[in-house]
Amino acid sequence: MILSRLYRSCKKDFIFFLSTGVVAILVVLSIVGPLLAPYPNDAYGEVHLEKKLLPPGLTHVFGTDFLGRDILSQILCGTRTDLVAAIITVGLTVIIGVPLGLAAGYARGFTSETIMRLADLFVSFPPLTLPLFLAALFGSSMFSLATALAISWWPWYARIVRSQVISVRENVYVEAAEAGGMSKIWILRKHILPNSISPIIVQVSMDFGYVILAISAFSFLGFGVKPPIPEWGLLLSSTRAYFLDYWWTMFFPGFWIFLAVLVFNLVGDGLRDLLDPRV
Amino acid sequence: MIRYLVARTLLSVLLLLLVAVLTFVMIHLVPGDQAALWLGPRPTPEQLSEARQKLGLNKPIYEQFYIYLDKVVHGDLGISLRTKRAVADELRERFPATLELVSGSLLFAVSVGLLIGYLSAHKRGGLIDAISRVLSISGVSMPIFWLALVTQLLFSSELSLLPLQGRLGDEVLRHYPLARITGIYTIDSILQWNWTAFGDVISHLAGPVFCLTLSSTSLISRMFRSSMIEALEDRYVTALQAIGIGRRTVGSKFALRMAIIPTITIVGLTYGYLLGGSFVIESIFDWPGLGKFAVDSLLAKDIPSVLGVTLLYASSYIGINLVIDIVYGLVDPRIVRGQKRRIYYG
Amino acid sequence: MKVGLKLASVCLVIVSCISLECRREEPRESALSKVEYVINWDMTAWDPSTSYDNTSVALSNIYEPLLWYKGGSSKAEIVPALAESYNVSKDGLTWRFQLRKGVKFHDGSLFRSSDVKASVERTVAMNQGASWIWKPLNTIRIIGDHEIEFRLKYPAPLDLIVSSGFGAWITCQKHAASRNSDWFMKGKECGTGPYVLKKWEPGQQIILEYFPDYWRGWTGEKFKIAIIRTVGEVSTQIQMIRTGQADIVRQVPFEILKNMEKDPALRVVKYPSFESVVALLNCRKKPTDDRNVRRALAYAVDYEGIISKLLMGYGSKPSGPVAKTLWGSLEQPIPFLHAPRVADSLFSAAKHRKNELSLRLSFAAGDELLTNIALTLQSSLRKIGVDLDLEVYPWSIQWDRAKHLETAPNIFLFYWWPTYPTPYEPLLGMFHSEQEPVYNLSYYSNKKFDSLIDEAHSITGTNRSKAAESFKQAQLQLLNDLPAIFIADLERVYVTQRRVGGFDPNPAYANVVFFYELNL
Repeated sequence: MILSRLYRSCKKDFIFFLSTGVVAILVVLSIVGPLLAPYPNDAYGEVHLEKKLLPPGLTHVFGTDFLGRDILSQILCGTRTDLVAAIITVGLTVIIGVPLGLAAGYARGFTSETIMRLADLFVSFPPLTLPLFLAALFGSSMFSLATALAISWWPWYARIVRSQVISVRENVYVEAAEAGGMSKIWILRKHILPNSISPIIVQVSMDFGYVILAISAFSFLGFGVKPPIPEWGLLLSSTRAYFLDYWWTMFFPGFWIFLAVLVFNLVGDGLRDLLDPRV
Repeated sequence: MIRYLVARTLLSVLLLLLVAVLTFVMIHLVPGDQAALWLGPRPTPEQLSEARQKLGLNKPIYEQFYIYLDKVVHGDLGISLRTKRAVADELRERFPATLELVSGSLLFAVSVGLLIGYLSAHKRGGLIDAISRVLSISGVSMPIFWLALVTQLLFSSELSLLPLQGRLGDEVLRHYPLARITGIYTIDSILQWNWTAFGDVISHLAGPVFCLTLSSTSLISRMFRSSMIEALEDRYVTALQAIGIGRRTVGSKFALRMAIIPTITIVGLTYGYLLGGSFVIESIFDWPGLGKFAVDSLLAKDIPSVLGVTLLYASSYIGINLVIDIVYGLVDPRIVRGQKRRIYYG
Repeated sequence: MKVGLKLASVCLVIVSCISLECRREEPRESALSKVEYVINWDMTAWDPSTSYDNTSVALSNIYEPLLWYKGGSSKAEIVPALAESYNVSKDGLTWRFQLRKGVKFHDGSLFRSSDVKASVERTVAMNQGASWIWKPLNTIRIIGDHEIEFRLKYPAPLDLIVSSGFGAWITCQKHAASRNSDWFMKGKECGTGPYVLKKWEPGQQIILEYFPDYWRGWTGEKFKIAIIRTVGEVSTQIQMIRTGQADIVRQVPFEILKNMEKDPALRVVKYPSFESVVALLNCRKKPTDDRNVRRALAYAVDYEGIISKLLMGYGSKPSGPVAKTLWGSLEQPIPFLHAPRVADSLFSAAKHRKNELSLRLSFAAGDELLTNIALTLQSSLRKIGVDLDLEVYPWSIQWDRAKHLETAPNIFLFYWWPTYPTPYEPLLGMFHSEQEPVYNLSYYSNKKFDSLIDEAHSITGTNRSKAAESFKQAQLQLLNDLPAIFIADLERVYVTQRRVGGFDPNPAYANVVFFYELNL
């Protein structure tokens, strides 16, 4: 049913249609990127010092970087890194946040309060502390970054789920089920969870773009994947010093991040209009 | 009401304590020698063991934490291993810089965001609405470090409109010196009637604030727009309009008040986001604030500094949330009553 | 509400107009007498007895040592500073310095031998930073107001020690009395140098103003105001030097330097430094415990590529662990070159099978050059089928991990720079046997080597040429045993505005610009 609504939405709103298309392309790229890239080895560590810092041209459409590696290939192969990292982050956040939110919303009193205070606790840390700690402990890697982001993010999801659960909980059929003696878990699964899903989907779709930005930002600062694994933010960080004279090293990766995040946000916006009919 | 306030305050304090404990534990798990950091590049083994003794590193971890907590309660946040100055001094000097940057950005984001949101809501589907939609989605999608570097390149290097970095130019420092009253240079320069310095401060603020607020302004304007639309279509508002109260009055008096509440939440969230984004901006624009200090300290495993910064950030964040909760309580008394009910019935 | 918002926006516009106008009213004072040096380090260590970081950039203009070391060529040249002359006894244990008369401190008091005694004793007592350079010291005896005698426990090159870039500054007796840094850390100073600390804005800039009573006088077109500005972002520094806002910068990336050489308004000043890039090879960890593996690695490094394409020519092939510009270095560059096939055969000859070899290299986060060198080496090794794993950590963590054998890498890539100008320092620091490794992260232990360099050091004060010979022998031993790969000797490059003249950087004082020596 959602899919048919999606289809109708696409027909109505051209921008939404376009963005969904680009997202699909990005997903495909994340799978076949290395096959399409003209110089796939460049993305995984091959260095060509002789071809250093070539401007965009026929052989290298986006030019080469400070180690002679093709920038287009690095961007294409980096799609996989960034999308996978974003999926892991969001996945972990949902896995931690949703059950906790369900528990906090359905159980009353002490359990609920504890979980909410726990959420407050994780939100109160300064934004960079957790990723930096995990990076220092386990080394910079995609997994430590994703975990760190998930740990600081789950409170938002827990809160959304909780407020949704609270409103559904008051419904008559839930009271009836409780009166009838149904187990809490059955009620959660049958009635509460299905009704709580749509705000989560909306939130995920709106957050996905933001997650990609966060991953790029942390990699830019040096706390994400380590070279030579291709990643968009990492591509940008090394160009910080040269870009004044070699604009293409900074422009293309930056613009690509912007474009990717933009289409994810547009899709998220459209999905929200779709699933949340009030606005 | 009092009960509500007391409960929330106590919880906040407990939260702060937990943050401190967790940070302390986490940072001790990270490898790195504090004594070596204190001594500098080429410490000799005797220097190292002497320093370890002096810094109390040989004691068990819970004892170290207890000593630390004791000092904090008396206002002593320890000495930074990196800069050898009191952490409290470092924080006191840098906090106003970040506060100025973040508050300035918040002010800008809220005022411009509300304005744009209001206009878009009233003229829905019009040109302003379309432009604001494009701008806001773009604003939210832009990588902040990219934006900052491009801003520098464009407005400072090419157009020479804004200074490249820092808070004050050195000529102003030497000829129109600014005494440090609050540390917030905009306020200080007004208080001292030093208008040249004021101009210099504003021009140094412009670039960083612009970069930092682009996405927040977008977010706030979108949020306000949708909650305004929601409020305008509410039954009560329609009823008022049916009675004959003009659309403008309805918009400015009633719908506005209803739209404000969710926006307050967003403002709280924005504050948190701005604190996070301020680090990148502080780095690129050499703004001597907490963000840069925080990461330099984290990277160097400068434990006293990290603890100091974490406590400061956490207490500001928790403090702001406390304020917001109180505001909520004032704006919507149902919340307070709800809280009361929860406390009675556990 | 709408009216309110309109009013607010109008106010905003008015305020911005005022501020732009006010900016333009700033008097553009004579830019001629001001020089601005832009760096990206923060300077907070103001205590001359304990400071061991880049605050020396400022301190070297505020304080002075007894002697200066003029480096740059293979001959060491000692220049009198606060000491006019000195002599040493035959056994190298007693040194006498004749101090300069009529020198004033910034607070007006006169410089005397008691100030020297107080400063040195303070440095030794506080036992932080570079105070270890004074280890050979036994007693200090004041002979007259302007003559002082140092007695050593064992022979050591005291003239080199007192010319050190750290831990050798002389401050006035009054403030040398306290054993804590509080007074200095407030940003106060008591030095004899040409500049006074006028204003310190932490994390932003340091303003130095000329000291009218400086003993060398102020004839000629010297700079009266010197500003040291901390700018964290390299791209900002580049923009500043190109737009004329900065006069001297030091950290321009090599690729951009090449373009700046063509810029007529700028001058690229390069000089051979004492710094080098070294890769220490762990001799106690598999597989680098095998000498064949170490030799193979030495042939896998693309020296030419690194020097011409990464350093863009601002560096050269080293002769060994001692920089070619320092006395006591070997004459010939190292005999290794980039020969993948030789490397391949050496790996095959190694005890372990090639595809079982797992090598780990660690380097400090945030440094472009080290990152690039590591990536280049990884790529070269991959081409001959050997896997190199890269570990990136913040410096203190990288160092800490290397100090414990379990977490230590096979290859420790870092920069080496000397504290005071003698070959003993790199040889001692990196290769002398250590029970608990400090910088000997190659875990190399060779008793003959140890005694060779220890002995050479003891005669450095009295018979420098013989010491040089022994140091060279020691280095040849290292080239044979290969506990490290010496990758490049670095040239340091400054970029200045053309109007800044007289700039002659001294490699013995890394990153320091002696503003007094500049002229218009």
